[in-house]
Amino acid sequence: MTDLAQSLIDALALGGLYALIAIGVTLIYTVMGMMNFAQGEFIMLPAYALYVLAGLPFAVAVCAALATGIAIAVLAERVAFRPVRNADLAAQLVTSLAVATILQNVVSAAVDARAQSVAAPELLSESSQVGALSIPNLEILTLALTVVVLLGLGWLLYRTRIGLEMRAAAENFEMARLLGVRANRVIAIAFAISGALAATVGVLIVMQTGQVSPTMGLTPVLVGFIAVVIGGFGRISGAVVGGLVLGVLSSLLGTYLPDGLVPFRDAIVFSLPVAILIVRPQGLLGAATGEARI
Amino acid sequence: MLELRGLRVAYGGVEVLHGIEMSLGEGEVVGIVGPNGAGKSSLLRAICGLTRSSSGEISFEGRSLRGLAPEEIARLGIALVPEGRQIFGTLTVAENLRLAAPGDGSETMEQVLERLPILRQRAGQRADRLSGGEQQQLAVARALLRKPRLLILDEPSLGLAPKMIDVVYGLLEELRAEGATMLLVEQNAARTIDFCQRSLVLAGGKVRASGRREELQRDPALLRAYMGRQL
Amino acid sequence: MSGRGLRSPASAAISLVVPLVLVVLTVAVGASGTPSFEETVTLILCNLIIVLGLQVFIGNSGVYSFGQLGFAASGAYLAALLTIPATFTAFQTPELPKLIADAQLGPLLSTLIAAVASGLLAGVVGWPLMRTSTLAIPISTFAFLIVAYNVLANWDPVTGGSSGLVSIPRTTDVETAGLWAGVAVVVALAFKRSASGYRLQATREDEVAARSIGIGLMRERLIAFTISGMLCGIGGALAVQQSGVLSPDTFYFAASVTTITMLVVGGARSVLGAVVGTLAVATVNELLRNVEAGASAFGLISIGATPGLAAIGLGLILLVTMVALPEGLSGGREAGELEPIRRRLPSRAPSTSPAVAATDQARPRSARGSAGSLRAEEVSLAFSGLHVLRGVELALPPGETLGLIGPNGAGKTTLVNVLSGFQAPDSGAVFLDGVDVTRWSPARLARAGLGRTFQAALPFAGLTVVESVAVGAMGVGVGRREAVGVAADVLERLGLGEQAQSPAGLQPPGNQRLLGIARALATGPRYLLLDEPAAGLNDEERRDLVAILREVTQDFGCAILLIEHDMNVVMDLCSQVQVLDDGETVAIGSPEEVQAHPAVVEAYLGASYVAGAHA
Repeated sequence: MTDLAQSLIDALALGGLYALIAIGVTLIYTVMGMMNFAQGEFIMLPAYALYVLAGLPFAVAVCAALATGIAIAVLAERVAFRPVRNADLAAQLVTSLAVATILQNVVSAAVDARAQSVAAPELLSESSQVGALSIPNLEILTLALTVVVLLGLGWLLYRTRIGLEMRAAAENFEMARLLGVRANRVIAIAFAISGALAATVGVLIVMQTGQVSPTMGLTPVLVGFIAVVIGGFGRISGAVVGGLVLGVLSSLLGTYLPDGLVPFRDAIVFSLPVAILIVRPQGLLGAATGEARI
Repeated sequence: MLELRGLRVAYGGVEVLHGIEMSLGEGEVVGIVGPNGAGKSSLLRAICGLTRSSSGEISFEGRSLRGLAPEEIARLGIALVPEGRQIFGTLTVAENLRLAAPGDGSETMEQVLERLPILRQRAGQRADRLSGGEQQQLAVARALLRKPRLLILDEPSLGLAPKMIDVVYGLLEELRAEGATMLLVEQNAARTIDFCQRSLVLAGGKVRASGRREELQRDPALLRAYMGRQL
Repeated sequence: MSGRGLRSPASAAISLVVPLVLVVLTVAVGASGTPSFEETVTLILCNLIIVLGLQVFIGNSGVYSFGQLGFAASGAYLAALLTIPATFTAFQTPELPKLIADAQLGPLLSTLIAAVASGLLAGVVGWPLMRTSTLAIPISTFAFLIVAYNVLANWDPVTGGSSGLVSIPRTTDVETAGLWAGVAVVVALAFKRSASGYRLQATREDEVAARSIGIGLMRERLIAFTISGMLCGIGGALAVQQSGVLSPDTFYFAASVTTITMLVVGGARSVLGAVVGTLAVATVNELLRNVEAGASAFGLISIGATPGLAAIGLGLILLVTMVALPEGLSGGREAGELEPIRRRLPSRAPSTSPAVAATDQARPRSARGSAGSLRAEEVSLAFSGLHVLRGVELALPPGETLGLIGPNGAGKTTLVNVLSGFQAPDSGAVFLDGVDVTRWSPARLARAGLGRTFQAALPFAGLTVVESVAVGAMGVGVGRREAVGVAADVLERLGLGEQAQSPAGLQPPGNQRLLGIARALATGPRYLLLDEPAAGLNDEERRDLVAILREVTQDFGCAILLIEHDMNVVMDLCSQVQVLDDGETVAIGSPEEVQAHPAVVEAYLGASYVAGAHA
């Protein structure tokens, strides 16, 4: 029984992590209509900040990581994505791919192409006793952060002016501009939040795996994309659901999969959502849009 | 207040407005009528910065509007109530209104809600649950909250039942009495020409006729523009 | 292959020869250098084959797949396992099925098998993936790439795991690679100019218009995806038989970015672009690699070893291209298209319209013989609370011309959308010759004889005038040769013969509308729905249009439903007119009756106008 509960908590923690990634991807998608391939690098660079600042107090390093995430996201938007803002979907996608490659290789060149280890603070490597369960502190932190982020995002989107502007822009960008909403500001803020979320994810991943590598963002960004797609494009709630589903699935498979198949866990996890898409192309929570496009 | 000189607009290589001349003074209420495809919406979009004009001038209170972003033009005091209303369906009525109100806005909000009490009633509802007429009122309210110097309405009677059209025009009548400057675009020529001091008839991207109410109502060019040659 | 009709023979020949010449030159350059240089050039040619594979899918469909290198990997691994001597396979991949492990095939056979297997894999993988939406394909193919990588890296006993395979016989020399590259060029061009290729390009140009002429999005994408997978498999197989070693990392993310960069920089839409892009980017890549290793450029600048410089350089090139030169170096054009040739097609004076004959052949038996009509019964539709159509009835008998008029927002376009399958009504039904077709897709309806145009012309801007009309015929199953004949005939009738070879996107607005009509006519419709065909036309063009449409009804035997605001057109052309206001029919009758009908005048100009006019 405790085993099952333990597994569920593991699963939820992973689900929470994936949900955070998916939200970051969705925010950019809702204001720009673009699936951001470089989101993985928004995760990777803050992780490297932790590596580079390993000697400093942990809290300082984390702040630096957050700042890095925000900075790189806003910079990428200004330099690379704004010029292609009105281009078609494929062009934007490829542009984000270019940004991803550049960032990956800059880090590779500046630091090293191989993985580097990063030590986690003592506290996060331990577990706490909660009733009969022994839960890793990192998982508690992940779950707590997920909840905090969701609440914070909810507060931002539904109780602040800028959140209102973002929701309006997500629904009808042109109309929002006609009411005086500044396009550049809304998009920059969406990127900044997305960068902060990515930084959070990066820090959590480093704490979990104990290492950083230039390509560490690749799998998370794919996870984020798939979560967004199966949840239903363009809705935060969809991103959360998609992330949770993927995380829970991945974690449970990891626990209960027969030994021989364990190396193929990722392969299985990433194949199943495609099945969902075939049956329900608009995703689990997506609205079935009418055909009228004329 | 608003001047258009030789305005040309093209979409993807196709010119849809072939040199429009128009002027609008403060406190005037001018109508633009014409059949579908005449270029009325293109004209409004060009003024509001949603479409680039290929040549010509648009100036508002002495300032050129060409090349400005839509939000900058909106902040200069031009408010557009677009065709199809385009309210934010996933936001509540109250949120739609709050979005439009710049900064404090509490006093203006009160005034607007006074005029349109139905919106106060429905404040907490999602905007896409409103009926067509209510949505139109919301769209106008939104524009009014911006305290515009110039109010532009694109086909406000579109898709509305006759009774709702009366309500909307009643509101516009009030605004006119208070000295608002308005530009009204409609396909329903009769009502518009009747309502506005003067109007232009736009067809095929050109101004075919213009004048004061009485003149225009007798002008055969108007009927021709809509109904084709008479039998 | 690209012989007859759609492009001039000269243009087609140039388009084929120039890329082949480039390949030959590359081979010559490679063969003339040091052995290590030759190896580098060989690998570049293998890359080219993969890039051509990418071009076949991405260039023609306009949709990005990030998974094609998964097929290169599958081809590579299969070729490797088939050629590695049995003793070595026993050692590296102990659980590999004996059949493969013991096989020690020659390069040609192994490459061919790799090609077929990769193609099959692409077909199998593509079948579900092409069913996902246009936006989801880049993501789902990306997922495939990672899944493939995962499997290859983790299935140690069969694939050698993450350390990969060694001792692969190095049999690919620069001439072999060049030969296969030439084959790939031919395949890519042949596909692009085939009926299937044209149909796919139509979906890239305008998805909506493509569906309206009978094109099945998924099917055409799957065909290209499969061919693409096959070419990528060949490239992978050859590459690995050059380098002698293989690991899952060889055909993974970095290689995906490199090949996509090559395609984009060259210009994804053309085969020439794929070749030019590959050669250009590969050259720059090599230069940067030298700089990376610490060499000096032009003997002037020296930098210490900087790993990753080449990749950063490529990333920057890709970024700059997307921002500044989205169509790439070739501008998306083939070698033979650099000067648009304006030529009149050979004129035809057929006894029966070939358009009707050809499409009649293509159409399934059951749909021939029009007994019945196009009917809408009690169609209702509401949108976000607005009732756009309320119980509307409409009947279009064969050979008739019906005008559909009414003020803006009356529901006319929506009704046409319902009739043509683009929107499903909330209630009511549509009947085509007695068959309930309410839920049929637009493509299916097109193949059954229903054609339509759109308010916006929706041209296939990237195709020439004749191509964009011929694809209409191809959409309903007519072969490419006949489709050319159909297109020529239709273009002559509409007075567009002179423009045949010029790009559709550059036509003036009047012509673009005519093109939309021509395209719909090429499908050989028995019922043609026209949405404001006269919008934006001047007096003379309008008169010509009326004459053409009259001719169309007679010669093609098709019925026309015409949405129009231009009363002159309606009066001249239609035998019946139906007036819609606020989602309901307010009048039906002859044009004269309707024009004088007070309810109609009121609908347009309002009640007070009627009073004023009579005062």
